[in-house]
Amino acid sequence: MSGQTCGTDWEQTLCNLIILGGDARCAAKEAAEYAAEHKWPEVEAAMQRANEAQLAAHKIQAELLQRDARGEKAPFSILLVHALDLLVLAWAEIDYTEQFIALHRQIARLEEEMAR
Amino acid sequence: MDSQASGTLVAKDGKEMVCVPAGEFLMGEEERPVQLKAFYIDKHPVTNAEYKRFLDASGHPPPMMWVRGLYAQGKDHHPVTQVNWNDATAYATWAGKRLPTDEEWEKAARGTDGRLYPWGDEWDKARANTCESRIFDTTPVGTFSPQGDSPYGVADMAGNVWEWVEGPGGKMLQPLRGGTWDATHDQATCFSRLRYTPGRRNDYIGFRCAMDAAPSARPMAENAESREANTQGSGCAQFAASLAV
Repeated sequence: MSGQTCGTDWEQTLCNLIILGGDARCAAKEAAEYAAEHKWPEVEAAMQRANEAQLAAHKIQAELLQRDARGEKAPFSILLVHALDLLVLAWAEIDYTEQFIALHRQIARLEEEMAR
Repeated sequence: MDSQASGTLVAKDGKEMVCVPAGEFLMGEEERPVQLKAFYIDKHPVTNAEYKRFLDASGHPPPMMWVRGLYAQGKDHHPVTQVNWNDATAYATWAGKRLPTDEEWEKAARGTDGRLYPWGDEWDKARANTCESRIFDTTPVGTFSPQGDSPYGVADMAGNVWEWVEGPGGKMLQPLRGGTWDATHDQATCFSRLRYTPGRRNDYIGFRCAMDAAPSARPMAENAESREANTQGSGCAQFAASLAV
């Protein structure tokens, strides 16, 4: 994101939120790909990154809410909508990725049993 | 209510536990009767300071947003967050306890009369940390006590953090109960439930522990303290008496 796009303090905050939401989604997708290949250490590492990013993003979102509660209203913008939209999308993707990973672990276990 | 007053004890991890006597309660939105044995449950969720003691003693890895193994300054008495179901279970095992079952958690929250919130049927934002409180962060455990307590004196059962509980075995998702600072009060009813995979960590997820009220049960703190009040025949008095021997 360029400095011009993220000019004001609010915009910078929202840009950080967008970046972190995007990072979380990318890492979750990466984890899903590793899970399909049964590469478990890589799955763990990617999910760790996804979770770190979503936690950092949620911290920013909570700070926005705290500022709002103090009367410091965020200027409404398409950037704000986009940032929150991406965060929710990241959470949903992490949720489904975790279930996808759990399913692949079960498949791997069954394959091991059948191979014995 | 089978007993309004409950015995308490202090367990190995130094946390006060409240006795929930044996008996029937009304579970779920549909209020189906469920029978439970007596059990003890932590009066408050596990805090950062308490979780740190567990980490120091066990070498268990800290929550990912802690910096150099330390939680945020000034948050000693806030509930620990960013713990997954496995972290919570590891703490409980270390403390000689276990996670409450889904049923136990709900009875501890609502007593036996099928109330919607720990304090009664009417929502009151002065009794719990949810979105409506406009705090948008965790609060020190017990901040809304006693006005937000359950009939058994269990605190923070509505809002503050979702709490991991032990769900039915063999399921991909584990239940969380109680709502959170980050959600509205409709998710903080005594029967609300969220489900996540056991690996999920977030900054609105914590836990508290439980233990059986049985004499054979668990290690207590040195100089374990047990106090009993009006729980004769509930299953709690016998357990507390056994600790005093």
